[in-house]
Amino acid sequence: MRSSEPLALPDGPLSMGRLLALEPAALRQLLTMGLRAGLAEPELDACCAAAAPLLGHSPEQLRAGLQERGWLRWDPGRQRWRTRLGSERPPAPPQA
Amino acid sequence: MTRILSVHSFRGGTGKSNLSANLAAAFAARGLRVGVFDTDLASPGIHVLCGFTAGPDSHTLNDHLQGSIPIEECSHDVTPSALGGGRGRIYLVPAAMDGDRIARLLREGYEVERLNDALFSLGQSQRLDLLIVDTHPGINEETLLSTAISDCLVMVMRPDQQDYLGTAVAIEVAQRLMVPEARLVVNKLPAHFDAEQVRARVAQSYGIPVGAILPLSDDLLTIASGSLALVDVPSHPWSAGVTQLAADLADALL
Ligand SMILES: Nc1ncnc2c1ncn2[C@@H]1O[C@H](COP(=O)(O)OP(=O)(O)OP(=O)(O)O)[C@@H](O)[C@H]1O
Ligand SMILES: [Mg+2]
Repeated sequence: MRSSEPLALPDGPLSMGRLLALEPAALRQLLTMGLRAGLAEPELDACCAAAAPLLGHSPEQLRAGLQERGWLRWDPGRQRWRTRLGSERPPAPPQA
Repeated sequence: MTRILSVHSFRGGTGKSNLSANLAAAFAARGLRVGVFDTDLASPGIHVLCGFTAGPDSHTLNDHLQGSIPIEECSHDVTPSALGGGRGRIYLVPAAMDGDRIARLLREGYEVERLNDALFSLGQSQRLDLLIVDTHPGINEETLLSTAISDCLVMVMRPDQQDYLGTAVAIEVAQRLMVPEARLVVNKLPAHFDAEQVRARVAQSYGIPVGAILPLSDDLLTIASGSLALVDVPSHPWSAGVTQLAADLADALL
């Protein structure tokens, strides 16, 4: 399933209150797994494949939407995808 | 991987901190390396039970959440001497006790994200088998997080109507957050209540396993002010109940 509509997820940073209210359950599952150990690539694929159709989107669109919102980020230390909470901004550019 | 066990209740004063500290002792007595986080930053208290007194230079969770002190420097070995001989260890991460620090935390807040990273990072660096998270009562960003990352949620309640209703809400939240395991603990059961009847009623109402039914006890009130019942009076029915619960949890989680 693929839609040209924007992803029906709230914009802005993720909070726990927001996570709790999300549907479908498969999306909450994805994000709670990301809060715990984090997701390996095949796990993220499987979770996106499970959740995306219920939102009327493709797995790729869901994955991109989560990354754009900063809800999901690659953790190079752990080599896993991890859920990020809060309003962490990108580091400020170095001062000249 | 360190297992995370959150001890939570919907209302205050159910016995979370006493249960957390004594569970930690029971796990350590089984030779496990246990961390205890006091995430009740607004009204901390578990350090008293663990016999920890902060010195002028000792760091707390607040110094990590609102500062740059590594979480390892905020953790303190509080293993009771009675348990000191074995492999078992208890590392406490206390919350700040002075009014200014508590007020600052409430005023400025912190990124709950940092708490999550701190739990995982201490688990790894101290090679902990288990991390026990003692929580603030009710539902807020921190308790939602500690619920969501738990391998097991221990819900503590008293056998009264308000706790029955509130516990149902908290359990529904835990289910939405896909907590893999949960246990109910009924604490402060008055002597004239029939424990088996309460166990059956609670098990049926919530559909999650009952971990323990622990008696209301004046002795505990006296002991609990400053030390661990499990160490001081190990054969007391309350201590025996907690020891049994720790055995069940260790089987389920490790
Ligand atoms: N089984 C019991 N019998 C008698 N008193 C108890 C029992 N369990 C705990 N208490 C007492 O109840 C009070 C609250 O206990 P505790 O601090 O462990 O609860 P809590 O849930 O952590 O509270 P809070 O929500 O404020 O963090 C303490 O005075 C403690 O000694
Ligand atoms: Mg407490």
